[in-house]
Amino acid sequence: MTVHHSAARLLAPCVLALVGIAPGCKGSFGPEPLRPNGVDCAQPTPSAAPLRRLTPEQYRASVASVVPGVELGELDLVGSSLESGFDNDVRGQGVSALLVEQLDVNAQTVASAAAAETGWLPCTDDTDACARTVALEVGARAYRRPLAEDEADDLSAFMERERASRGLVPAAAMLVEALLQTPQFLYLPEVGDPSREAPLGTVALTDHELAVRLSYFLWNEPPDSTLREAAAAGELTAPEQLEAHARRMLEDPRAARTIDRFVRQWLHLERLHSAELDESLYPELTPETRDDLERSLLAFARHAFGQPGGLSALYTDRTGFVNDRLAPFFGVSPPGSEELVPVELPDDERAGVLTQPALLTSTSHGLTHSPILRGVLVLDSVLCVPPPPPPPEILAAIEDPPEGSGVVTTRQKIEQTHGTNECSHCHEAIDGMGFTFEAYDALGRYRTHEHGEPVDTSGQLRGMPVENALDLADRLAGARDVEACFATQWFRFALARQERGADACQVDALADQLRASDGDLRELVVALATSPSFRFRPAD
Amino acid sequence: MSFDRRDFLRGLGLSAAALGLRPILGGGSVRADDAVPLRIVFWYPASGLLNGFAEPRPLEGRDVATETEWRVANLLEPIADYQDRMIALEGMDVVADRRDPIGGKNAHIAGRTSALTGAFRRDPESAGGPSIDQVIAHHLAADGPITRLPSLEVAIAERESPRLRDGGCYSMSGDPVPFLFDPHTIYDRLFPSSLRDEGSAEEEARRVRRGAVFELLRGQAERLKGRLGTEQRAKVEEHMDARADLERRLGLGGSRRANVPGPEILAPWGEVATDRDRTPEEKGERWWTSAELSGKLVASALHADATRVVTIRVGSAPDALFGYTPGQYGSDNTHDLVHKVSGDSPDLTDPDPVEAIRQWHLREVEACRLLLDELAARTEPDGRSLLDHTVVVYCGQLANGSHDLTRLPWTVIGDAQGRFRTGRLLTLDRHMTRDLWGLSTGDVVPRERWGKYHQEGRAQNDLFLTLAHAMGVELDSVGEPELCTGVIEEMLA
Repeated sequence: MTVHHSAARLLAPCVLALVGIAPGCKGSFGPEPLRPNGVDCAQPTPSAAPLRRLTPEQYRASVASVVPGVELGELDLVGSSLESGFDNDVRGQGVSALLVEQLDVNAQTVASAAAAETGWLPCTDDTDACARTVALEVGARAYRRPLAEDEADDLSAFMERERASRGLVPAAAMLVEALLQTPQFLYLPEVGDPSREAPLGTVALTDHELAVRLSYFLWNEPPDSTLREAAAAGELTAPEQLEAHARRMLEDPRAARTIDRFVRQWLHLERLHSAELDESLYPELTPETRDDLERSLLAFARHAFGQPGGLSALYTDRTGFVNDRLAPFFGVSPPGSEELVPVELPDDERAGVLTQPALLTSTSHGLTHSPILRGVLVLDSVLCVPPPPPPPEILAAIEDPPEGSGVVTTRQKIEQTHGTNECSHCHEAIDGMGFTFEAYDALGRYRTHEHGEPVDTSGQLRGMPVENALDLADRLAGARDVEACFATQWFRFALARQERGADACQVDALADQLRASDGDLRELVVALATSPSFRFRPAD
Repeated sequence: MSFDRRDFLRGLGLSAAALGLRPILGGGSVRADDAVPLRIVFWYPASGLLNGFAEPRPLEGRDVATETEWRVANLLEPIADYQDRMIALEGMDVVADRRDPIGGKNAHIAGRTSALTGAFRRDPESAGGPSIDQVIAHHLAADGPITRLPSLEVAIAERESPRLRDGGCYSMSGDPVPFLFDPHTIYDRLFPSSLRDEGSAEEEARRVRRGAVFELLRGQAERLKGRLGTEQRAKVEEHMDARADLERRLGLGGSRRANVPGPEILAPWGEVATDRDRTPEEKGERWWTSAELSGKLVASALHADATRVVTIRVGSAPDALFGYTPGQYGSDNTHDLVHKVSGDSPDLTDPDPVEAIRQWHLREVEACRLLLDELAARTEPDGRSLLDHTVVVYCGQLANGSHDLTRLPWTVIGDAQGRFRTGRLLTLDRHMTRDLWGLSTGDVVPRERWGKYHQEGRAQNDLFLTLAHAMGVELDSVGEPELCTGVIEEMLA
């Protein structure tokens, strides 16, 4: 084992420690709010507004809105290239030859289907007037706004020309084929309106741009007619009206699906389906139970967010959503139901999302659970302090104990490996968090012993001793850092980018609002949708 | 992205002079259109190779290997038949990683963001520049596309995985280039029906129609660009450049239509959509079929001149393929086991676990053999094999299972149409560099003051530069300019 010699890289956690947010460092965890250093927060402004592309899911919904009623067929589209993070993150939206090829093939597929029916067309007369109507209406659907004059002229001229030689419907299909490949459709361009009042150094977004941001944020699809009409009437510029629409949209089932999407990506639930556990040891982990586990966790999150103190409830609520297949995972009697039903879980065994079997299983692999992955998940997703990267030369393997050493449990093996070398520097924080979950096996089943030895669930949170996962949950619930991290995650999700620079002020304000609303997720979402970061873009 | 695309290219040291095609090595000129083109394939495993088995060996009865008297490394035994075409390289490192003040988010990300780029990272998860395959593809098409696809990226795997998305190739803007996994998708991309129907009246009508569609969308994009700010406009330009390239690319490839294979070559893959319920043995079979088909598809793509630049990401061979069962040797998975048997002071030195990992690597090298055999079996218009007109670079994102990025066990296979002198073992000079806060400064320390650590080999950037020149792309440097000292002259004929 070589000594990690890249001191500059090791300095990173120490720099973080100076501002009080490093794992294992005292200071920030507790009632003191995290305030960004060196940034003037008097008037929070967005630090960036990169051009966002539709995600594959948004793309499909958007295509459907251009040709309503047309059977779309298979539409392949390469998604985010990021292994983790939210699926709309612009960092994972590179342009590739493959991307433009897929978009081309998809546009042809849709155009071909659209040519076979006419229900999506605003008119079907084989006349120039209808050709222009098609150009303007279908163009506006694709661009999610009224067309600019020059855009409208070009589209109308195209339709008139192609209609004359091919007929209206074939011409309209060609129009769709082109529109679905325009940057106006594929991306969410934001020009803004410089004539409107805006903080110094920023430009206010137009009503239509706000409608688009709001709709893809809350519903993952283009604006509905109500939102479009409000935008056309110039009603979204005022924060109160934007808020009213946000509240209206939050009542819709599509918003619930957005919260599911957030939770799934925030907690990396995709790992639940890819976790490779030894099939002979865990035969009950079938594809069906993996699906059940995910639905159970999402049902729990929806339930918790609906409770008083929403975010705190997420960490402390003792409800489980169980069916007969999942009952052994939760350690409760089968409810006699194929459907998930709410069950009160034993007080001394589980509390909150971090003890949900889905999450505990998603961090397991091979023969057993991974306290390390469990610890990293809490640090990264819940506290927003991802551990620094391991040194390049470091061995990641957990060493086997010498025979007769008395080392039996997973925890003992890890302590033996990490306690005796330079790993301890970082792993104190990671393992200290992960060990609090030692009362759950690889499938998240509660236990008191591992390999015949009593489990040791003691751990630590930023140097403070923690008894077990329930104690950890109590400490996380209502903690300022947890609120700040949750606000940060929603900021990233809503704006499709990482926070940077002056964004810290906005995130801080969101955390304040979350606390003021007693952890109410809806209030956080509304605060985000009406925040300066959402309504303005930086001026060029 | 907050930078101007062209500024970014300039920042990479790709000067205006370097952006165009210029005379190749040895004072030659750009090859004529009717010459058989040279192709390049990067064989890119995710796992490195096991220390002690990855190094070229002396001949039987000899103590040391020399430039001309050597045997391929133990682990490369499956491709030993091709030794005469090889240049085995010793003493090369991913120096960019060691000198990069921004560490990778984890060791694998560190490897893949720097191994093929030779560039410092943009952030702990992002590469700071294009990978060599994309650099070559970009410059080959500097005067317009020359093949239907600028490059091809495929993965060998038993199933789809998020890890395949970011496989180590990065575009000229530094964004990850997606890898394709499903053979049907790869086939359709390489050989679309329009290629197979070329010349028909229907195809001509389609061509006219798509020309009109493209003109409309290009005009619309221009309208939008005029209204956008700098950053958003740059992204639209990048997108439309790629879209315009597609239009030009679609008109290419017909002259080698006879080399396009029929879809029946995909039969072994079947039509199975889900792969969640496979047994370990079925996973092994699936991986092997993936390896076989990728070899056939890549060779066919090169033979049909659908592309001239390919990267094959080799996903880890499943347990059943090398007879390992989770739990054996005190490890609960291959990843854990490979760590235990790797490095200068491995935790496990027992022959059995070492042999298990050796077998794991051997399966992957056998997959490489499949590719080489496919290339060797195809004949080019000059009567020579496709392999004679292809350079295969055995590389990867790690040197070994300890996540090292030093002492790369990389091998070049192919003489680049006579430009390389093959059948040789090249040992490149290593040196010590002075460190500052543990980070390499690049200042060379006299040999007498060398210690155990901090040796630095020749930057892989120099290999990339050499390969680029061989492909007819004469750049000043690849990756970080200060790490790129020049072409590896020892490789040249």
